Amino acid sequence: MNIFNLIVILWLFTLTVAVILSYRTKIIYIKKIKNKRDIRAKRYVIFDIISQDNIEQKEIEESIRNAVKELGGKLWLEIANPKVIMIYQNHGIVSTNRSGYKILIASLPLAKVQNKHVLFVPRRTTGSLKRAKKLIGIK
Amino acid sequence: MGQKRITIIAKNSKSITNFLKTNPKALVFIKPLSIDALKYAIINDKVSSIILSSDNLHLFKKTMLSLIRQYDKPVEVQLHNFNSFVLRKIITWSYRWVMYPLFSSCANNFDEIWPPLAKIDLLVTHGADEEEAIKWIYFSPQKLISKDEHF
Repeated sequence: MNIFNLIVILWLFTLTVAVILSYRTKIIYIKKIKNKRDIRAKRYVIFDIISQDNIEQKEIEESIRNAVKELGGKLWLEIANPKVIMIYQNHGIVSTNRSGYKILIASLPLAKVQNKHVLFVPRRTTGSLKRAKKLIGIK
Repeated sequence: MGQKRITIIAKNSKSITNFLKTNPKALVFIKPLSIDALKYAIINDKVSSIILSSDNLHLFKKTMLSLIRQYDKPVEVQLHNFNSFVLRKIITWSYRWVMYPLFSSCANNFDEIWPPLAKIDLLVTHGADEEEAIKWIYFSPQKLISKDEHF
């Protein structure tokens, strides 16, 4: 019985060595499958701010996060993870990802700032911050 | 130019007929609270649209939906205090029975307005196809207005 076990172990060892060597010499073709969904997963949503009051970036981010939580719950808030990148004049840029940008856009009208009348209007979605900045007029 | 929109909550068909006699020229939106009122609102040409909400969802049975399809009656869902269950229902019905679903903001103030892109993504997150959502948001209101101009 012990001899049989030894033979099996030896056989498996030789097979392992053969596979490693063949991988190095590229006899066996192994294709690495890249998950295309991981590529350029970032999304930047440009929105307009319509309000007569002055609103700080922190207030806007908090209101948007609360709105996403109201519509999609904690799960979608953590998936989308919206962050206000910048406010320029009456435009804003929010960063999110490819899986969460739709829930973010859908929840923008639900965003409310305390004691202030404000409306966030989604304009465009881009994949790069450079392009988002260009679209709102920053060179 | 623009037409006035009037929304009424109808408990029976008599209240609809009385109202239509006094207000002949307006876009009349009716929220029926009984089967009788719903049937009358679908059949009557002067009624522009029927309002669907969680209060009258139980009235929309298969026979009523078939009648809506027969008369091409638009069905409106108000988004100012929307219910996800109602939205899900109207989306599924819109593929088969409701030809012209309307999604209105019904805003009292400017900060309650729903932008079209947000409406589309709201429908998509509730399970609608993107193409259909765009069609419902952009073309259903046009159909309602053009239909009313013929009168």
